[in-house]
Amino acid sequence: MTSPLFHLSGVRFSVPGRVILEPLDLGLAPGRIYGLIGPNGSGKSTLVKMLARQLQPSGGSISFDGKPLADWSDKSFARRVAYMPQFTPAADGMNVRELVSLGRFPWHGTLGRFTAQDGEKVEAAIERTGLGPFADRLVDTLSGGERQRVWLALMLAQDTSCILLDEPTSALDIAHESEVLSLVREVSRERGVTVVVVLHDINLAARTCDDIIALRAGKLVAHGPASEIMAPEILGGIYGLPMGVLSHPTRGEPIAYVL
Amino acid sequence: MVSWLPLSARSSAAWAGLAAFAAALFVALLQTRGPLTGPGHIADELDRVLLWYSEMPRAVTALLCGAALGLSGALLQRVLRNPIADPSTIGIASGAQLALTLATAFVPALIEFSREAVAFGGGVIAVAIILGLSWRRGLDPVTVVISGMVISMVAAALGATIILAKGEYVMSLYIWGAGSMNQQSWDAALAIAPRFAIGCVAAVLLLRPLAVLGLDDAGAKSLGVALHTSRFLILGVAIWLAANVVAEVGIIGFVGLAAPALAHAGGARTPRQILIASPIIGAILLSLTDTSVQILGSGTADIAPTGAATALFGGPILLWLLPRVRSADGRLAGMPQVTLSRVARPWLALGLLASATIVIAVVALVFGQGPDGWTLATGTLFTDLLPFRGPRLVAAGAAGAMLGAAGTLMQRLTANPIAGPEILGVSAGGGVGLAVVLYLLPVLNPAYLVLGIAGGSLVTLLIVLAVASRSGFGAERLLLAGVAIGSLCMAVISTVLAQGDMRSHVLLVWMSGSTNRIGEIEAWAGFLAAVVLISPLLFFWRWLDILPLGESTSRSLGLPLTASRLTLSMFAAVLTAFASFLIGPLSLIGLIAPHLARLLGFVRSQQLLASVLTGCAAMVLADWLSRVLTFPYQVPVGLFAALIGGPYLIWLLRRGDTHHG
Repeated sequence: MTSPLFHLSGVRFSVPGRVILEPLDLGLAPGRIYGLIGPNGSGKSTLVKMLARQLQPSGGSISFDGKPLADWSDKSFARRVAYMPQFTPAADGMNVRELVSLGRFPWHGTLGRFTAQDGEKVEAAIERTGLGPFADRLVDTLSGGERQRVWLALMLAQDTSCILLDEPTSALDIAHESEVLSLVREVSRERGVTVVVVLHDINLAARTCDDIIALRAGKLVAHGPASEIMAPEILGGIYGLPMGVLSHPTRGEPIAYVL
Repeated sequence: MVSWLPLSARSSAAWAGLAAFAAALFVALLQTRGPLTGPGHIADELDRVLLWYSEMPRAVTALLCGAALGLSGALLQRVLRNPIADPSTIGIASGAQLALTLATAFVPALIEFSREAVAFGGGVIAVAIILGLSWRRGLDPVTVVISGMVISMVAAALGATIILAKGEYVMSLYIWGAGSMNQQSWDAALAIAPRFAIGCVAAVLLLRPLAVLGLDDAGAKSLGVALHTSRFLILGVAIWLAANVVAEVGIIGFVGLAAPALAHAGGARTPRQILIASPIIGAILLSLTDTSVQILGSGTADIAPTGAATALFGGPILLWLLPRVRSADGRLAGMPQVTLSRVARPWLALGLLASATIVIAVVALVFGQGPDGWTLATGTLFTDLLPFRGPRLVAAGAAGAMLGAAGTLMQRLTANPIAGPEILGVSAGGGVGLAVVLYLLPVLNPAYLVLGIAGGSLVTLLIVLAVASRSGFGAERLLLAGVAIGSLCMAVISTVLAQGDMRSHVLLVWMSGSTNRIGEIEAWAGFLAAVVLISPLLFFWRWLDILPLGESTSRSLGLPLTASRLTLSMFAAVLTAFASFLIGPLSLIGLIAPHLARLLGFVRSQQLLASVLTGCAAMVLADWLSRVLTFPYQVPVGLFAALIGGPYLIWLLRRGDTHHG
């Protein structure tokens, strides 16, 4: 049994007059892919933002690799954990290679030299995400799916052991959705990268992730291997709707549907 | 529940209390007047004269002006569907004041004929310009307010220039320019009272169209309202009310903004309720302010002109109102625009840009207009003229370069292509810093002046960034926070200008952006400052790349957010301060240069360098043009640049429209 990479104890989050996340205990093991699911307003995005140090918990503690989050310096944390926000910003006239190169910032810092090794990591990330032909195109001229791959490449260039994604497919059509998530899965397997991904679609999550963490109204309602979560009574508890599960006609994987 | 104001019971009671307090304060003011010296019966007589011909008319004037402004603001906010519209934020007051300044200086007969008509004309022109600019954006509140601010700034610089050119002849204008309520007779009160009454009648007649105008255009049209006619009629009434106040007592900011907002906060919902409550609240507010100003002041001198004092409560109210402002069409003014195309070989292009700058500088040094027409200065003529032309040119170029750098920093810090020293209120904040130094220090040392401007600029920039960061640097909030703080600072500056002494003269020269006083020392100091302040920025180019991607991405990449923002803000503030010390606060070059650099296709770190060069070239060009175009007169170069920059900014706002379809 490996020790957890992220360890949360009693983590909660509230804004004046509203509790977003009830006290939560959770351990995330290294190398696995976690899917965070739940209805709108369930607190899943808040949770991933707290893991990424984008939000401070209102109480409780989160540690990463045995050290409390607050004790990590900006730079060393950015070398270990990469985060992609739900809405990626406009790239402001940068081309693909330039934007991906920003992923090396935690390694070379403000004044450090951009070394040959940095360059190699950037090229490798571009190749891995299949962006080779676009490397000199302006990011803002790419399609939504291509743009999402650029941000993924930036995270790969950042060379972290953990990747946090907040609804990476919310702006994509079905084909690109599937493509981006397969890429995430492959990369995780190749490099042993831990992934936490917020997803809307339970079927997509079950196909992509090893484990599912389900939240509802700020409470943890289910946590377990994807195959175990895909059961009518558990799904019903998550979404508050009667749900059914059937098998994919060709691949046999479970598919959830609303009754 | 019937109450005296169409507000909730609690608010009505609160306003009744405030009204009583204002009355008590006025009584206290009368009681505490210093005893007059002299033989008993003469002193008594004088006392009665003062009471009936100074104190009483002043109190009545304050009540009437407050009511007129409250009504004017309520009408403007309704008809423009803009919760921060007010005679001062949309440029009516500045337009009216500039018209009065121009008329006093050049056509005194017009002033004799009717001050109110002149002021009304100025206000109408200002509003016409603003409507023309924002019409295609559906009178988008942000566009309206930014246009209003640019118009106010250009009007202020023009006014300062005219006053400097005409000397003390016009200086008296500034005494009331800042809203001094001092009265020697009942004239002002008698002038405003009937006009306010007419305004009220007009507002009542227009009540029905006004109710419908709160809907969107389509809704109003479908209800059969002659949309434009009623809109223009209501605007006319609002301008007329505000122009009358300006003509009688000067610019009194924020009352027209605050009164309807407080009425709304107190529970007034329908246009009728707001139109009834706003004038009453406005009257109470202005009366309270005016009495306090007199009590806190000493004997004959007020602590500050009332119009400037209203800014002290008005500025915070404006900031409080910002979250209510919605873009008319949900689109942001000046949203990030996709770079059209990137320049293919940036370093070669930068070299070309640098060469062009040098060519412009040489042309500006050599060509000039003399008494005998155009001359090409060579040989001894050149060496004779160099001491006159050289320092000005170097100072203008250095200031332009620094503004180009400061503007780029601000646009990158805020990820907003329309940020700049003027728009974010940083220039005006520098003016407050300068005023503080002028007041606190007995000796006028240029180094202290620069320090004062730098301190004021930095504090302002940090406040704006803090306000904007609370809303995640939303583009609108940022711009509006800048406009709010800018108008607050301009009000403080008017206070100092109204003193009419040596200090206000220094401030006035600074406002006008004149480079006439620039000598060799200033030129060298400017040049050194530009080199010393701009070169370290090249080390921060990675920050400048990452920061515009937003807070989440910056943090995720391990960028030290607070440290980087603070460092870059300090550079931006000090650069702005040096530049505004040399060429005044209102050139708009800090907005334009980064923009031109982008249009030319420079991005990332090259944008900074290109913007520095563009700013430098633009200011050198402006300096030369201001020297030759109006020969033998000289327009201050800062003003000249603003006269070019204003239209550019406006074009930019309009372009945002076509750009998004």
